[in-house]
Amino acid sequence: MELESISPPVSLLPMDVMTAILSYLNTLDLERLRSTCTLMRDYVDASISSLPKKIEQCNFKIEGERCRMRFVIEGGCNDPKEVLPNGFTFSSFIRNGWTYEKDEDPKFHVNITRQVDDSLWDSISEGFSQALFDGFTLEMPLTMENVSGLSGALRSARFDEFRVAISRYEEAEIGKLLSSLIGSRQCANRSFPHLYYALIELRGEAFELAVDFILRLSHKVPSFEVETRTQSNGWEDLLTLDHLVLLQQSPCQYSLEFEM
Amino acid sequence: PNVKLVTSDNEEFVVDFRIAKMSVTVSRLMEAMNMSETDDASLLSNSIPLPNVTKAVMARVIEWCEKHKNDEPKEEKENDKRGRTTHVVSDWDKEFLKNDEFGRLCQLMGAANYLEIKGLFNDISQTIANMIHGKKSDEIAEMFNIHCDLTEAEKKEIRKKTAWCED
Repeated sequence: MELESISPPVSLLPMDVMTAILSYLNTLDLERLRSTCTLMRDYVDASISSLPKKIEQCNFKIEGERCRMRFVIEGGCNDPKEVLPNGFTFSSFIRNGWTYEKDEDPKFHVNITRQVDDSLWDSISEGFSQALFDGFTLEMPLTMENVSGLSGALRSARFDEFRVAISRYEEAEIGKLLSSLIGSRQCANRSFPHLYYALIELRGEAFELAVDFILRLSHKVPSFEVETRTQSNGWEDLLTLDHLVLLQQSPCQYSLEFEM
Repeated sequence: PNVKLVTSDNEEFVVDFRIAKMSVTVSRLMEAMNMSETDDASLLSNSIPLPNVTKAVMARVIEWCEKHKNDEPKEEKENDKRGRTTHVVSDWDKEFLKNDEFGRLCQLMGAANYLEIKGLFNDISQTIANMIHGKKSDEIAEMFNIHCDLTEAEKKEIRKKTAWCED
């Protein structure tokens, strides 16, 4: 019995079928496939966006006018032409102004940099779509634009645990921050409780931005640690008795540390 | 015990219960219709309609299932050392699929997807990926009968943007 020999347009394959095929391709193959026609380009992009991207570590740093991201990808390798598995391909970053650079540290599979400009945050949203981060280290100036931008870019990303390192803050605000954090965790419907590790170096500027940022992420946080640095007076000054009671009553896993 | 499967073009296939169970979709339908291995009457009096599969495709699916009906469930190897997601296609499966053109593979893959036969689905995914792997854009377009609607300017722009990985 013979199958009909009709060749359907490849773009008419169901999305889940296409996604399965793409998961076996490498970055170079994907780039070539998506440049065959406009429909295929959209099709490949949509398929890639829907694939979960397992990222063991992402170091995100904005320093001056440059932004740098370094990745350790689960099962990844240093060859940019090879596949970065589980749907992670940094092609979308390259198309959006990022430049691939060889990393002097071989443990990182991808090292890309970009000029900081108005389209910075848009340039990473696609690449972070459905990302599953084991670790996320963030170092950036705490501005409203950055806070909103990163929150937007990470909107479909997931983590397992949340760690906040606050390097500068106003003492009067820390209690409010923790109360808000705990409060939002108790009330939120955390349908995606995946925040495994995020070390967030919050620096300077308006403290309410830090609160805003943490609150947005806190909806995804099953447990947290709060570290303080350069704090001379210890927890007594940071937390009131009410805050400690709130923490004790919280069903969440947490730990508090500080450096004198 | 045997199970009756009816395709979209009204062809009836009588298959071994184990083969029927290899399809998650058929398993669910049998469950919904209270068909069980120990109840011959339920198997004789019912047939499973498969409106998304033609007889030609069904015959191929059954051929694959016949070969794999005694397979132990195996864990997929997620990544090899180079990071690629890999699925090992056995020699028999390579032989089974080697003469299928892309169009035929698509039909078979569509059926494997609908019937939820993971092993066959993965075999075909990997086979099609292997057909794409290492080919240039124009070769891929020719193989898949893709009409390129990009202008010369767009092509130039793409070449510029993909130069980093083509070098």
